Amino acid sequence: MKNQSKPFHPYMSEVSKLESQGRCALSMGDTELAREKYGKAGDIIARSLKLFRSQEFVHDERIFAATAYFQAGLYTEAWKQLQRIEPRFLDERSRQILEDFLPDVRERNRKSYLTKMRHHIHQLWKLKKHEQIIEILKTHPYIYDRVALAFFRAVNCVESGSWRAGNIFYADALKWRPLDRDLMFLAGCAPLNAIRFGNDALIVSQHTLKLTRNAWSVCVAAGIVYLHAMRDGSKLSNQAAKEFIELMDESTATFAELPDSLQSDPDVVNYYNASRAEADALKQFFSQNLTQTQLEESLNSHDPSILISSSNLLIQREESLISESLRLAN
Amino acid sequence: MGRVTSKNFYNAAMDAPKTLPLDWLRSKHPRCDLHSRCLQAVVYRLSVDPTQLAEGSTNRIVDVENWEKDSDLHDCYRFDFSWSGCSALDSDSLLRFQRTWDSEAITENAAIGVMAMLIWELAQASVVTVRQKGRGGDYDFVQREGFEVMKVEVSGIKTAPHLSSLQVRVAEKSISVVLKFPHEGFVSVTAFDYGQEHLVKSVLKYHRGDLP
Repeated sequence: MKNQSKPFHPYMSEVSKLESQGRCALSMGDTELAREKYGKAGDIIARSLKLFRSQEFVHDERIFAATAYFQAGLYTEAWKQLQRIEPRFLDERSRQILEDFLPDVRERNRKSYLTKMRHHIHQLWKLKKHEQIIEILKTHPYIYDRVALAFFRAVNCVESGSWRAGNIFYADALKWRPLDRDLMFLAGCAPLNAIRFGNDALIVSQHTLKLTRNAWSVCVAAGIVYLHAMRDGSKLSNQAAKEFIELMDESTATFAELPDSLQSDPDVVNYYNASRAEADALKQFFSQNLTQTQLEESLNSHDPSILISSSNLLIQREESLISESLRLAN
Repeated sequence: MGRVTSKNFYNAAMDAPKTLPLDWLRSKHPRCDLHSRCLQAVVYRLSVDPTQLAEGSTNRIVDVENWEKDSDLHDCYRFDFSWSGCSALDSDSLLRFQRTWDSEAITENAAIGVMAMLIWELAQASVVTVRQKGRGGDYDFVQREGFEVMKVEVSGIKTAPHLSSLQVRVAEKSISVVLKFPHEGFVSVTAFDYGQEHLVKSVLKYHRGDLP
């Protein structure tokens, strides 16, 4: 192909635009949208091959079509394009690209690809190789649907110590499946879980609320505010008490919006009731216009252990739910 | 604007570096939606390389060499890449980005973004296609107003501790662009952590005619 330039055609810009949008969608974890955009790009290239009279360009363009399909997770389409390429028509560089590309496409086009990858991920999970799982998901984003992908990213980020990334991916998963009871539960409980890694639950829960604000995440955040303020036998300040009450009131006002199964979940209900009882007691104190000293005296007579034991139950529940979800997904 | 018209280096007497807003990825290259493709990658790379910027920082200095073929002289520039006007680039979105793409893919797309910024500023050319080919390199075309479409070979290097690593990459890409496009074309190579001074350094080289 030396000394012969491939002509530019306007469809190439259209393809570029679609690929840019596909890449942007992948950046957001939206593999459905990415598949649509990249898939369209592949179709346009495949349809445009007739624009070229030279076999060199036709076969070269097929590599682009295969690449777009590959990025779409449409591995069979990608494989079909590659199968039709005759390397003798390609220049040296394109032949090298093809050689590097073929084994990966062949592998992903196998029927066993999904099962094999998911099994591999499950094994890595058991070995607690969380960073490794996150890396694999970067280059194999289509092995789960976008909700499961976000969920896997979330749990592995949390387990590898990145609670902030965990919150982000839980929020992504909920964006696409907002009424999923398990996701709602897990996303809300993330701040409780963060305590296991020595993180400040209060900071984690503020971040959680920024991204995922529903009755359950607000209720968990309220409990954390309360327990945080009462930690090590500290006295609850007026400010913390008011914040706690406000959060609990918000949680109560929106509780009916949660899925029925979550509203009737015994662990959720226990935690909610324990927090609600504390908040109601505080409200009562405030409405009677108690002095700060009287408030502190009254609060010191309260036992936060119910809320603590309830939190621990939630953490255990969360761990088993994650394990179960991973087992089912694999 | 921070230009030195000889093979020279920057000094304190230079003007303040010209600011190049990353919003140009949208406004100057509308035909292939480079904004969607590269913005996060450029911001992420420039935020963490060569050194982690402080939270809330929205700019990074990039040193540039602009070469004409067969000339010992090149122009040196120092630009201030700014993303202060770009919304939706908070620390959370960059964290998601970092957990979604591998390092190589980020560097590759950041290099495309840097190329697009420089090729507009220094050659008044607009990118008309960026299409990925296989697992690796991209295949890009640019167009100067009133001129034919030409090729640009882009490459990104995350860490280039020595001058040679940057020079070698520029030479490789130069051969590639001339083989593909014998009439004219560009090479753009960006090292995001260059030399002992840990700079961001980019080379833009214009080719016309035969093999170098």
